[in-house]
Amino acid sequence: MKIIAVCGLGVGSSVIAKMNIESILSEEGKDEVDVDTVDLGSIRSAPADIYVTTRELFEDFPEEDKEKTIVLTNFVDKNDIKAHLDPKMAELENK
Amino acid sequence: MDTDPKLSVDEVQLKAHASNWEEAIQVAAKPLVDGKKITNDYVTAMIDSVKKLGPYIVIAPGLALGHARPSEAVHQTGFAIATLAEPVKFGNKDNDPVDLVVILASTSDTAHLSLLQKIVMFLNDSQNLETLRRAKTREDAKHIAEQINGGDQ
Repeated sequence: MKIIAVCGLGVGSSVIAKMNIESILSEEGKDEVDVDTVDLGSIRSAPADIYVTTRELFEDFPEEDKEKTIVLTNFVDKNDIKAHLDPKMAELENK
Repeated sequence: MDTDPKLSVDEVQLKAHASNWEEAIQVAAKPLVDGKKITNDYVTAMIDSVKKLGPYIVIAPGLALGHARPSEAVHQTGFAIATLAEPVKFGNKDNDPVDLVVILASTSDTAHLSLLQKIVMFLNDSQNLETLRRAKTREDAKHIAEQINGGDQ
C-alpha cells in the first residue's frame, strides 16, 4: 500500500503529515506501508492508494483522485489523523 | 553546509504583535532575517506562496507553518516560532484565527528534516501547545527551545 501526503510545495506541511502517518503506522505495526510526499502540481505522476491533504488543496485535486483522498484539518494531532486514516485503510484492505 | 540545525532562544518570540497574516509571517521570520539565515526575499516568497496556493499553511487549529521552497534566499537552515498576542486570520475556514506561527527555511529538500521531526514531536503533544501558548518570558522561551532541541529519541 502507498500513501502520499500532498501539499502546495511538498516540503513543509506534507512532510509533517508524512512524519505523523509513519509514526501512526509504526505504532500499528504496519511498517510495510510506504509513505511519501508530493506537491499538488506533481500528483498525476505520483500514483498512490491513499492521498492525504488539506481542504484548500482538495478542491484543486484531479476529480478521479478525490475518492482516494483523506482531507485533514489538523496535521499535528495524531489521534485526529488516525481517526481518518484507519477507516480508509480498512476499506482498502477489505476490497 | 548545515550542521545539525538548532532552534535558538532568540528564534522563539512570545506574545508578538501583528495586525494581519502578512505581518505575522514577517514578525515571526524576523529573527532568521536578523541572524542572516534568510533574506527578505524568502519572507516575500512565503507570503507569495499563501497568496498563490491559499491559506492551507494553517495546518492545525491556530497554527500556521510559514515556508517556501528551498532557494538562494536561504543561507542557513533554520526555524522560528512566534506566538501572537492578538490572533490574526489567514482566511482558513477550519483553523482560523492563528496565534502560533512556525517559520521553516531550508537550504535543501532534506536539510530541515531532523529539526522538523523534533518540532513535530513537540507539537504532537497538546500539553506542549498549551505551555507554548501560555508562555511569556525569555526564560519560558529558553525552556521551549531547549525542549525542542533535546527531542531526540
